[in-house]
Amino acid sequence: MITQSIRFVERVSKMSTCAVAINDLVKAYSTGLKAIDGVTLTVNEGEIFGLIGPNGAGKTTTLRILGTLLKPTSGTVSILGHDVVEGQMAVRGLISYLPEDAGAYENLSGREYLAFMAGFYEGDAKKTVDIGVRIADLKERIDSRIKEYSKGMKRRLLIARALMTAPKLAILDEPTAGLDVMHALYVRERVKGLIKERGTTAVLSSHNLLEVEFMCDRVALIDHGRIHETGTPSELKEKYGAKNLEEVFMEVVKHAA
Amino acid sequence: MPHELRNIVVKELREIVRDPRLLIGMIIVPVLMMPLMGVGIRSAMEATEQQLSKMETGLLNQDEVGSHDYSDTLYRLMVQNNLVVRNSTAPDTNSAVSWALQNNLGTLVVLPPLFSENISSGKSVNVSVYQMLSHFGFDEIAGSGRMDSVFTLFNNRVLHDRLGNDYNSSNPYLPPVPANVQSQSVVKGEVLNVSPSNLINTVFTTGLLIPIAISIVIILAAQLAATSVAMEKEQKTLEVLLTLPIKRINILLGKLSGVIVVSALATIAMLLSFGYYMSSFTFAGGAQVDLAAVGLTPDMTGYALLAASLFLSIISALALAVLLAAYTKDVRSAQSLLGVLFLPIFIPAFLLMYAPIEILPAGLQAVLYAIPFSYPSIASKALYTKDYAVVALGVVYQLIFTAVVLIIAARFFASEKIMTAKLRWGRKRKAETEME
Ligand SMILES: Nc1ncnc2c1ncn2[C@@H]1O[C@H](COP(=O)(O)OP(=O)(O)OP(=O)(O)O)[C@@H](O)[C@H]1O
Ligand SMILES: [Mg+2]
Repeated sequence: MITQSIRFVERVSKMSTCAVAINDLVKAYSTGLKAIDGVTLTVNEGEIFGLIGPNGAGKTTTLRILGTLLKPTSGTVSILGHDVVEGQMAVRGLISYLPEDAGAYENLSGREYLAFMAGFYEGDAKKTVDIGVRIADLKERIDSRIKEYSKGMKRRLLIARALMTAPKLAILDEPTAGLDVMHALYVRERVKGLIKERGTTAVLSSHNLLEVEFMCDRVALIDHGRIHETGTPSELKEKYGAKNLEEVFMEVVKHAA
Repeated sequence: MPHELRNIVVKELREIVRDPRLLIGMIIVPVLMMPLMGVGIRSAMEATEQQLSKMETGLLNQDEVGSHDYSDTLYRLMVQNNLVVRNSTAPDTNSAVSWALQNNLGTLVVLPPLFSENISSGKSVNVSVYQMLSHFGFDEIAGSGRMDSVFTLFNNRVLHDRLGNDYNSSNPYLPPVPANVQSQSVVKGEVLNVSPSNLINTVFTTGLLIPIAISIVIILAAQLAATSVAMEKEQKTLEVLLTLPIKRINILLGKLSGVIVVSALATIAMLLSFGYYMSSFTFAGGAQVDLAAVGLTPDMTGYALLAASLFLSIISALALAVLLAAYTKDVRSAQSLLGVLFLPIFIPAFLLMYAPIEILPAGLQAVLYAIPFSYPSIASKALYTKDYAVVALGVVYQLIFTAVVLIIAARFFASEKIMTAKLRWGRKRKAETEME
């Protein structure tokens, strides 16, 4: 009871500064398909926010709009006070986006790739690369060609790239997909540690609800382009009388269908 | 067919037929290529024939003293062979050449004084035949060839008359040919002492490789650009770049500059090997003509225009390739879609090898002038004909074309279309499900 009220106070105080404000967002693709159909959400500064939902629910589409890759069909999205359409350049300066299932330039070494990416940001590029190398934690393999990396090694490099520049908002689409248990654990702790340590914000999507429960302060459950539930993992579990988020997920999706 | 094999074959066919890009690249383009080339080449041939039938022959007949039986025979043979002959009243050969040029005649034959007398007395008489060359085309070779065959007929006739039934053209002890043709070429009003067919052959063999080599460089460059963009899309590295706080036009220009540097190296390598190829002709004896000796070496203006049109062709092909690739989702579809670009690159190069653009029908000319990739071929011909005005205009046109394509590509990169690549989505999902 006491911990809950402390959390509540924390949340209210954070709400004053909201990192992401999505208001009645609709996104229809040129095929006519409404991938997002009236989403309203806020993510508070300092929060790690998880988007969960079945395949094709609209998670990636939402994250791409946050990442200024796609434009809303209607509705508004602002990131730290900047509109993603009007202020897209400002937004790009604040965020860092990790696509799902992405690759890197195969003929560069891991370190060269990080250096290439660091070159787009102000500040000491060498320092940034050093941070990236530490986050990736690839040991001496950081200097081999990326084409010789395994899927998980690539993923760690890309996560390092996304976090090394200390973005105000990290947008991570399935960050740990393809990682083995140990590395997934490592990445989770690392991401959580960095975001909390810096007081920055992250929005991520994941199919691993264990991970979401561990990392995220709050979660939204999305299906068919609509938000069906939002709340802290414990709130949701409590509401559905569930042991874990997976049961919540099953319950919500069943009702949504 | 075993069940599993059939299953896989059906799936493969289904994937190919349903992928618009594969269909375009592998079936539609090749299906269009040959008929288009056929139509083009046929009209090039027809144009050549038409040009030839219009080509008139001038005759300066100085065979005035004494008998003129043989000049009459020659005249009759020319008319019988469908040549339109016009008689010159010029006082000498030089003014006859000017007269022929002024009247747009293709060929000029000069019969020397005492032609008939000397032939009657069994001598061999030199007859000068001048072929006017303006564009080094097949019609001009044919024009001079036509005169050669008239003289062959004439010589056979004379020898037959002289020797009666003893005449046998395979007899090794034949008397010297009665009329000995001295072929001369007239280029830009100047008489060159080389046979037109040798001269055209030399220009053709040296010039032949240029448009083909150019097309190859352009296509390799386009392929490089398309692959590199499609790779970024396939690997989603582009997705990361697009979220960085950088101007998107710089992503496009950076990409283009990278490929331009590589293409520039490829062009230099090609020009070097081409230079070597050209220089090997100066040693060749026989039918090859030393172009330098007859004042036909390309000059700096010609080379500069060729380089400019080649460079702009490469840039516009690169910009087009980047745009095409941006519409696709992966390397395979980008490359097959790129096949569309091969048509306007290869067809002009082939056509312009067969016939100079100015003798083609107006419609085809318009199409060729509209294709920016025609200009390197036109420029390589202009190395010899020195008709620089068209090439210069072409370079200006290429600049405008390239600018327009670049602006479209920049707009495309700045919009979300670069992400949604509408040609692919539905199919890919299907293909993926079939794989599972
Ligand atoms: N470029 C596109 N064009 C047309 N439809 C698209 C496009 N991208 C996504 N969609 C559709 O939009 C819907 C949402 O897709 P999205 O990729 O956002 O789902 P997701 O929640 O990320 O799914 P997953 O868990 O499989 O990654 C799907 O129905 C998808 O088919
Ligand atoms: Mg997704």
